[in-house]
Amino acid sequence: MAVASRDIEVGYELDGVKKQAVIQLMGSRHWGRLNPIHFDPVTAANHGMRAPIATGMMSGAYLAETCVNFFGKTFFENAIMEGKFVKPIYAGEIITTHGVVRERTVDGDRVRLKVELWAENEAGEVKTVAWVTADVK
Amino acid sequence: MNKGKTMSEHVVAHDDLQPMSKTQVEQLEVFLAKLDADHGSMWDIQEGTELTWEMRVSPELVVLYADGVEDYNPWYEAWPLGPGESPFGTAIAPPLLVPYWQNWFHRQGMGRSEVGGVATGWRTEFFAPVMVGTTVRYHGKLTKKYVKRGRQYTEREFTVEDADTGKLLVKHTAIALSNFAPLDGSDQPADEEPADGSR
Repeated sequence: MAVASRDIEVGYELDGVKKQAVIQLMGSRHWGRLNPIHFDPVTAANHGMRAPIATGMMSGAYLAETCVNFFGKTFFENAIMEGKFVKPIYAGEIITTHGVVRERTVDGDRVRLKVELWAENEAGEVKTVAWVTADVK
Repeated sequence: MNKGKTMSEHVVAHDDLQPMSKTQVEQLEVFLAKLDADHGSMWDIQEGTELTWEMRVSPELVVLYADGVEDYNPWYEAWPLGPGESPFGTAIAPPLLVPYWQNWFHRQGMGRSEVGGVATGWRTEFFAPVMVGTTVRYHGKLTKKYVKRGRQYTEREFTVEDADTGKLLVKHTAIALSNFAPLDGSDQPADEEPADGSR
């Protein structure tokens, strides 16, 4: 499943995933339904938003899925993911993830990659950014 | 039907984005009223407050999460029949499922529904996969509160370990705004104010 390998080069572009933040998923019980800015247009408007916004962990999960597809099992062991929700993802937006290998570190037998990731909408607006560091086998 | 605040010239309604029956709208309004009545801010939690709790990472919880983010990786599937299969043996939880449930700290743990709050950033260290069926023990602490550009930020730090063995699985830091709207009540469009917590 994983495509990352020990000889992968800096500049390698990861395969992204494409998802739509549909209101039915934004209102999933998993997200608690305790914060209606995530599923109710009226509450969102009362908080200054033009539409309900996806919980941040949705776009975080899209980026994590991109990493699992790339790193495979090593993403679950001794990996670090750090991210920021730069702009809200509004209901209905179609989000595509991207990633580029920015660093490759060799320490003995260990090869570790640092990857820059971002999630953007169809207009190219960056919504969520992250950096991930993980080993490759 | 059940109009809300006007955004531009459009009057916003609960059913703008999906079909809802009159009964469903009425049920939603009752639910929202209850949330409003019970709403408490994370900002009111004292800095340094700590909490420990346990949660079972059940196959059903994993499927609910996977459906919510449309991630159908077979490594996560142990429902309806387990134990599933992954490179680690049996099924594992998606990487950010356990970190996501840090929200138990302020929701069920502190009774804060946090209406209007938004996450702005996170940092997660993955030490080992969380096997489906594991009971994990969270320890959380509200470590920082600060105001930045007129908005209230909180930071919470968590460790998650296997409740049976004590093995460290995840460390997670969650950063959030207590309310998306600025404290001064300005009507500045939210899009003009990136909520990244760092600038």
